[in-house]
Amino acid sequence: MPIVVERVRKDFGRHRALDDVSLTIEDGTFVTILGASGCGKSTLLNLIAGLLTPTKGRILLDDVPIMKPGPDRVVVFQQPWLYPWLSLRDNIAFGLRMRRAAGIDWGRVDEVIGIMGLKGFEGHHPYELSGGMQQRVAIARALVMNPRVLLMDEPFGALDAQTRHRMQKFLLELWGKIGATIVFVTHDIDEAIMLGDRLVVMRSRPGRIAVETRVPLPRARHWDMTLDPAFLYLKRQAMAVLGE
Amino acid sequence: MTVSPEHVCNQALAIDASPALGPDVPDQMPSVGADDIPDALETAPRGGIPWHHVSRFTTATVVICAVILWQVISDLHVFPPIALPSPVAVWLAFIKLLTKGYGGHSLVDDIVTSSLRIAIGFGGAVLAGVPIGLLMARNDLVFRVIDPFLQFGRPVPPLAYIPLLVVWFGIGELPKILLILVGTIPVIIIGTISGVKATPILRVSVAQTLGASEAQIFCHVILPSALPEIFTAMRVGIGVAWTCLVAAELIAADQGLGWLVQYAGQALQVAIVIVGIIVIGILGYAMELTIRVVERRVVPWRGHG
Repeated sequence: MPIVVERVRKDFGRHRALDDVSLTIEDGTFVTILGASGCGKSTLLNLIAGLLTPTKGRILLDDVPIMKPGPDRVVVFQQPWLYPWLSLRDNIAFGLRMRRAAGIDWGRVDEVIGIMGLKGFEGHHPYELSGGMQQRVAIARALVMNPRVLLMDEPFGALDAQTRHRMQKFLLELWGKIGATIVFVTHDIDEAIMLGDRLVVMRSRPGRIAVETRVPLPRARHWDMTLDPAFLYLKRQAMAVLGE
Repeated sequence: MTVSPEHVCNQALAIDASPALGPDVPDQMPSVGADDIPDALETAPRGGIPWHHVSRFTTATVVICAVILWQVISDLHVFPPIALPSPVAVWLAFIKLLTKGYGGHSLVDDIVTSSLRIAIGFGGAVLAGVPIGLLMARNDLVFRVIDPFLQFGRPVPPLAYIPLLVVWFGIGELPKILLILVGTIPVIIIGTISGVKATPILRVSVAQTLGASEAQIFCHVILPSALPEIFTAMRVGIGVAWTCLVAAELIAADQGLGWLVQYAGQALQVAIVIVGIIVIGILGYAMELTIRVVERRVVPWRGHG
């Protein structure tokens, strides 16, 4: 069942962050939400996460309105926000530990550690890891929960260019393996088009959806595709909306 | 108390990371790309003089020079020996205090007495103050009930309570322990509250999206997040507690280091007074060091975000 955003408005005091936003996100798709800073794209993500509630309208998951955060919709933020007092392994197991009743499936934890290329660092603490590795731990911490939806709020925004590139490639491979729905917020046009199945471009003040389109590129993405006419066409469209 | 953790931290690290390291130390690496660049800059040999050895050597030199200067001044009889005994005289007084004692008990007795009072008073302040601070930070009603007392109590120097405590409880153990408690607990409570409030909101959001309940977030996120500030408060607090205790012993006691200093002073035994002061200083410093050692074990991530 898809995530359905129905005519959502979000006000912060007198400031209207989002107005009349409607969007349907099909299961298993990779949706990128592109917009300038302050256009409300993170607000939209936090609404889907359940960290915020809409002022008007509603958001449905399996036809049930989203009221609060839950481990079926894990968020990866721009900063990794790891727990500095926990080792890498315990950070990744954090969500499993929070599940009352059930014990921790350490096999699953170690499997995710392997997938994320973090083997050999299990006992390290976050401050002993590089920024790129910390963000991989944050993604692993989300993945281990087997979330239906992975919400990513500019997860590579704080990384340097090379690391960001590697992480984007890695995320695409990962998505091919896990098949979860990914909602990925970014202000980087190339990143948005390169990663997404579907591209949502937002306009600011108040935040509204300007363009919603399929990305007509083959799924096996390559950085050569940034020269593909279809890529350039989309990029031009997005730039027009963003006013660059 | 508004002592920022950074401030206390810097003080604590002053010896290791003195600004006098010299001009050859590279600046902090820029954060951009720091991720992939090997630590070449950090591990590159600085060459030349090993500065931290020099600074340790400097400390010892300064102490030795000060003692020699002291000896010279007292040998020259600039001041009468009764007012300024020589270091040798102080050393002899120290030995005498250890072996024979003064005023009925030995130095060790006084140290044990004072240390026990501190342990109970300060331990009580931490055991009560941390939960009170946590409750106040989490519950608005509790905050409103306790905060006025805290705001009133803070500007009152704890020493002002001594006469009252003596009238109420005499000169036994209870008034001293109570004084330490009253003087220290606001520091601990306020540090705990600010530790809780300083928990980054996104750290909590992460736990929420991972399915943690309110109680779990409190135990697994907020409490550990507050620990570094609680330790800072404890380090400030142990100083306050020690000051309170020595002052209380100066005024109303028949045992303890404060009493020793006061009693010897009245008899113009200045050498003993100086021994007492040095012991008080060393013990206070040792207590802070102890907390710092515990802190390093409990919050090793401190200073690393």
